[in-house]
Amino acid sequence: MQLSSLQTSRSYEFGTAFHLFDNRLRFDLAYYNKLNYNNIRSARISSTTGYYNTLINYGEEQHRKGFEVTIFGDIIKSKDLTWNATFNWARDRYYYGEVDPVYSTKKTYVAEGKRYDWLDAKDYQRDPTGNIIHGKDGMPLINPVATLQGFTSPDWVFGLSTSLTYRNLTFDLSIDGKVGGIAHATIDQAMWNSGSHIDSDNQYRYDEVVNKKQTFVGKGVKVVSGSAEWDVDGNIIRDDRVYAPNDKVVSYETYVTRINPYIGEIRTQNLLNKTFVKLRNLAVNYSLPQKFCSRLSLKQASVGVVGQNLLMWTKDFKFSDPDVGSDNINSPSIRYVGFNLKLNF
Amino acid sequence: MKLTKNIIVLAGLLMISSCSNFEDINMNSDSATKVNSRLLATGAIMGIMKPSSGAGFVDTQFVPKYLGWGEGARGSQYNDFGRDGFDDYTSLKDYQLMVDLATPESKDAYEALSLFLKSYRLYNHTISVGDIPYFDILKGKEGILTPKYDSQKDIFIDLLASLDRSYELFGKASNFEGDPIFKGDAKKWQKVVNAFQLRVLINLSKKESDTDLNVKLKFTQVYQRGALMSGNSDNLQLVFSDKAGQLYPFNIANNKHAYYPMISNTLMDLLKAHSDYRLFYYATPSKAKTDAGVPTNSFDAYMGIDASSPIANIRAKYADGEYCGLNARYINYASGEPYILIGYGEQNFILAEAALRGWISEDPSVFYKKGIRASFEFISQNTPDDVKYHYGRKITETIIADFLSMPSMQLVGDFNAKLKMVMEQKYIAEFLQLPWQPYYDYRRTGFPILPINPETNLNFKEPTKIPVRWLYPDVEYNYNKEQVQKALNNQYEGVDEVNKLMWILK
Repeated sequence: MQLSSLQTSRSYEFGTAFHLFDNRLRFDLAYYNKLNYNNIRSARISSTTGYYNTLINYGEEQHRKGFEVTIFGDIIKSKDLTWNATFNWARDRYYYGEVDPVYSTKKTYVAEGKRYDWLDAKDYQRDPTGNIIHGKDGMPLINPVATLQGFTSPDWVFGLSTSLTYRNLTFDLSIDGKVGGIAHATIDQAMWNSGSHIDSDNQYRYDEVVNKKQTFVGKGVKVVSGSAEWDVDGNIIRDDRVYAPNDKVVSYETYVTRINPYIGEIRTQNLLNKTFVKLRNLAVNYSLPQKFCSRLSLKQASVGVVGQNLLMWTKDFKFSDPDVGSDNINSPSIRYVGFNLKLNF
Repeated sequence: MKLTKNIIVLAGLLMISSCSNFEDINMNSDSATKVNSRLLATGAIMGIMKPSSGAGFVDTQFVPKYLGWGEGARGSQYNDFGRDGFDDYTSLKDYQLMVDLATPESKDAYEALSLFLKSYRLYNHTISVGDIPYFDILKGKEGILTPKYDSQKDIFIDLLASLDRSYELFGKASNFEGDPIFKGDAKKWQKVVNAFQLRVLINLSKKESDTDLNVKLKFTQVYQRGALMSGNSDNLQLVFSDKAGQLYPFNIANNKHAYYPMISNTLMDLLKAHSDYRLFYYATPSKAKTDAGVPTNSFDAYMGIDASSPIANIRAKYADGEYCGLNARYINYASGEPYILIGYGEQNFILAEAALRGWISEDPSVFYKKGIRASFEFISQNTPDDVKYHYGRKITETIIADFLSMPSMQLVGDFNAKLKMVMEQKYIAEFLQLPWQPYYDYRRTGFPILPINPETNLNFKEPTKIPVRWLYPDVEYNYNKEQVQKALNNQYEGVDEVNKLMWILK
């Protein structure tokens, strides 16, 4: 076992650029490839060894690959009016290089060439067509072993920014977004768990609390007979279960808290797609005429209005900003609206 | 510009000079910088003694159906068995260090303590999952990162030998430092080891005919070697007080969940069947009953809940006050009651069972009654004489004597009838004590009879049964996969499942 020599990496990058129409349209393309190896890691080991982990240079390599495409355009270029725009698109991915035969986790989705940013969780037990399986008590059954649910990094990210100037008036706009990637929506799960989720205000709850009558039936199937067994990787190795549509009426509250336990335990319906598009910046600026400035012995002066995070569209996330990366009961991002006055003496 | 340069040089000098005694500055003069056996012993003993606080303290009460929970469904109440965790193996390292650092005079005592503590922890793991890593453990430094799993039989043979050795060493050891429980009294610890060994052996009741273990003979030896606990003062127990950090774990100051426990029918019916005064020390009367005018000192003011009924029913009873919560002494009295890990009362019930099985030629009734008496005395000695803790039903010598002479309390009938009575009284005595022992006794003997409701039982494969084991830890799947797979193949046809029978249960 070699102790803590320096982490090493090698990287290379290819890039190319085209400039067309007298530099009015410019393309920039880049591909990069970086391998982090000889990584120093506090590697988890079986605690029966007497230790939780060991600080070593271990054989698990991290391979980062990505593309980036940028297009710049001076769309209008005249004395009074200029308009330019930049668009970029990128994909950044981490993969496993070699995995360490001893220290890497033995999960089946950890192997050379597979993605590094996996997220796993114990899913509901499902019948061959994907319906959630319920037990005799009408509650959904959970797999005994965690399986791969998806990846946390976005598939790609993009950004668009544009600037329009007409005489003294400048208008700036930037929009960006990320597409793909999943995260555990802890706020959703916590709200369902505590009964404060807005969608829990429904007929089933009303029936149970006000009418004292249970009316909820979990969607899916129930086991009529038989049982199943799993191996250590979570694969079914024996299964003679027979199903029928679930018709067991249960307490809605019990069902909802069962499928939304304390947030430390992920339930897969709360794994949401992080896709979003954001109006990140919007600004209008007016430069005061030179004549006016010199009268007040100013070199330059401008007034403007600026807004950040004015709008956001999300595919799944409702209660927190997926741009943050993970939802750790974080509050939504702050919207800024401001007024600028610049005086230059 | 020159000035700036000088300031930078000066700042640099200041930094260099302040770094020279960095080590000294960062040393906390109030904390220990060197470890010794005394310190390690305190940590090691408290490591097994100290229970979790708040809701976690009552975790062990749901599988054996002492309690239901008014807040919402708790998995263990409905027999959802999760995974064991092996993280406490790391504390076994300290036991060896404690021995290594011992002075020659204290070596025997620390080695005896180390053997006992290690046996205690590993015994608890093996009876919860089956085969465990045992002989190849704690060798991370030597590069053994994936310890093999050893067969439960080999483990039990070694556990018994280790406890013999620990017993022998405590016998010749002088008293040692760092023991917050018995102030280092080696003789007291020898009794603890002896009582624990009786527990290990009685848990082998299904292996009576195994000739390698010779359980019956071994039990007689341990019984006769002259170190039986002779009273509650011999209990391995943690005493609580009103000092900071020493409050009873379920005290309201530690606990946001003090009012959710609901006493079950299982416990309530056993107490009521013999008009047992311990009821008034365990429970608070049902609000629904007292509102209806039933006096708090009447048995009629107390009612249990069926811990296996659907959570919606239990919550409805909770809302209507149709249940009994825990007695105020657990919640509002700073000292609560001591928390027993290995006890005199338990020892007597074990001896009663052994006598019933013919392992020792004694009258089981004597031990049975000693066990019950120990429970009554423990409760009365540890509870202030205050009506809010016993509702006027004070336990006195007369009450105990009358209770023990009641016809319904006499040990009569066939083996099964007697075993049932012994296990029922053991169950009552172990309420909020002796973590998991009532479950292991139930698993082994089937007593007391616990409610199982196929409609709510989360043991889906065998909905008419309570599971018989926990699953192996996730960490082992991820970092010791080959070995855990082998262990599963050797014991359970390759499948980690809660209904598979481990060796001691076959």
